[in-house]
Amino acid sequence: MIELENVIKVFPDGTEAVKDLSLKVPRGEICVLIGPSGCGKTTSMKMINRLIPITSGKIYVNGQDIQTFNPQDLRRNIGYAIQQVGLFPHMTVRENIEVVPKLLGWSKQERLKRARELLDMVGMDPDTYLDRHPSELSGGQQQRIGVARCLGADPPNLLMDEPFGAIDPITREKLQDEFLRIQDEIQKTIIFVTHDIDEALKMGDRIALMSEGELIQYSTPPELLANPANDFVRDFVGADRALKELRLLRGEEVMNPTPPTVDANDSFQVAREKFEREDQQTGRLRRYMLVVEGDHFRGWVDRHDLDGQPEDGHVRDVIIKSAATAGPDMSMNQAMATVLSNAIGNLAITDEQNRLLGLLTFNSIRRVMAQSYTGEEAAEPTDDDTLETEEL
Amino acid sequence: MRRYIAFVVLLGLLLGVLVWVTSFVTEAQGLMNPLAWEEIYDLTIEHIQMVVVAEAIAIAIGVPLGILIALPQFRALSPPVLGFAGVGQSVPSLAVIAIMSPIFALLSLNSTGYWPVVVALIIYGLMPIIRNAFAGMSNVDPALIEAGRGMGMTQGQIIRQVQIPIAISVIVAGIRTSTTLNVGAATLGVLNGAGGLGEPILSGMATSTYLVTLQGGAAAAALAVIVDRLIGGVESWLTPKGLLVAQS
Ligand SMILES: Nc1ncnc2c1ncn2[C@@H]1O[C@H](COP(=O)(O)OP(=O)(O)O)[C@@H](O)[C@H]1O
Ligand SMILES: [Mg+2]
Repeated sequence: MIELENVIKVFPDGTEAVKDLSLKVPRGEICVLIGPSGCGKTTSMKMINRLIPITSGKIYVNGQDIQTFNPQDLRRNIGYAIQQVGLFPHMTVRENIEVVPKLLGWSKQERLKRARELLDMVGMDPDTYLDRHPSELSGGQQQRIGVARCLGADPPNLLMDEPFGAIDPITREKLQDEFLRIQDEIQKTIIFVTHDIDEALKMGDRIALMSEGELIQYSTPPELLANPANDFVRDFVGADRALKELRLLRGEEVMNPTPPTVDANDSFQVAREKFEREDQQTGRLRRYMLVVEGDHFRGWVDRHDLDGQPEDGHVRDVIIKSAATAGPDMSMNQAMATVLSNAIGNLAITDEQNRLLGLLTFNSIRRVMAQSYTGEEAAEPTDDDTLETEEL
Repeated sequence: MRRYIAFVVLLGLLLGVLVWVTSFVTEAQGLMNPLAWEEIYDLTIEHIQMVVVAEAIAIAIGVPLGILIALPQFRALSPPVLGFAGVGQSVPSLAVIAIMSPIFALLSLNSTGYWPVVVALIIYGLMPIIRNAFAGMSNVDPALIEAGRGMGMTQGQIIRQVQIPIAISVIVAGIRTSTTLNVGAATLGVLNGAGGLGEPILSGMATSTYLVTLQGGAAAAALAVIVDRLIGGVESWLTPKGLLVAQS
């Protein structure tokens, strides 16, 4: 947990970089500091690990006033990553990751174990990379090592100043996704500085929007989009607010979690009965249905394919393979793109083991898009979302 | 670069051979009193000793001083220190040596011989050492220092574990320049009676035995070339592997 209380920073030259900043970051959450260049993000962050002394106010890390620590001890217990990455070029990947553990006096075995663990975590093979030097790594790999290094001694709190800054957009997206996946496991309390609103919306559990040293709005990403505090926030967030909201909506939140299904092992007769029951319940003629086998997603079945089949056959004989599926985290704009690029009407949502979690239909995607543009309350998915009458 | 090194080494060898061959020339062959090999050897040792003592002291003063004035809290000292060292360098080496004798006399110390010359060589050799140590340390990417600080390194740890390893090749390059310069400058030590390879150069000229002058000059040149290569080797040996990769 990190807490700032009425923090003020005036530099010796008179610059008021931070004016009365109060901010509370709960344990395990990512707080994104964002705002135009020069608004005081970096200064605010560096006061937390005492790289910059505070002029007045209080900062608490895990409930303890930072002034009560010796600065070096404080910093060794707060992970720190910067935009320029700042890997030590004369050290190997391993030595870089081991910097803080070494400062803390960990044994050689503990340090090596941790370095391997962290390389695994950031998706780099320890045997290949431990003894490489930073100059032998790509930009994306260096950023990964930067992240691994700030996690070196497993500190509960992290400060990250544009950690994915100097990198191409594709690699950047990938690093963000990976980092969110890692954060899911490690649950650190993170202050994350960026000037990119898309990154902020994606990474932040909360966003602190600053301007000229002042905190303008501190809220969750959907709240920031839906209820901008003033025109500054509205302008900063941008005209495509609605589209950005879609990016925050995940498949899981929009899908129908209990779509009708048939089992691959059902006989044609059983399958036909299931179709008819659905028709009676919805009052419409359903053409396609999801095929599962136990929990697992197998594909689709077209009811016309059931006709004229030998009676001892099973649904699995006529399965139509699915062109695309989506994970529960897939955002609505990605889901839309997937639906359009595969020319399909529906998207099965599955987990990593290919278990069926729910169904996202073109209609439901279209509805949430319309809602985010008009700003009306999102409706619960209804039954007719699962009406498949268009081509798959 | 490799061809240049080969050329320099060859030149050094040739000069060495020249000195060696001339030492066998005798009067009977119609030439004038060349020095015997042993004499050249003794003078060379004397010369080396003078330079080594001066350099050891110059390094002991210059490297820490260059590092110190590169630190943020002493950065204000860097212009005067670099300026002072620059004066020592821009004054001709002969003048630095010449001025030491009266200064020693003023301090009522022995104003002739070895020590005034050694002190002159220290002053003359300090400049490249201080300048390179300062440049090497202050050219370390500030992001690295910031990263070190942010991870909880003390200033001493940052200097020892980050800045010096990165700056080491530049620091040693300064020592190399300084030593090579002083091998040459030390030949002037003879003017204050300090001995060394300046002795045959001067006496050869005074008595028109130019072969002797040639012997001394060639020996000093060979020494400079060898010293330059030797310290160059130390330089690449000390450069961290990660930085070598970065340069290639
Ligand atoms: N050491 C300093 N001395 C004086 N002013 C500074 C110093 N560091 C930053 N500032 C000023 O403080 C303000 C906030 O800077 P900073 O926190 O780096 O902004 P951001 O990270 O949001 O771009 C800027 O106006 C900047 O010029
Ligand atoms: Mg900044």
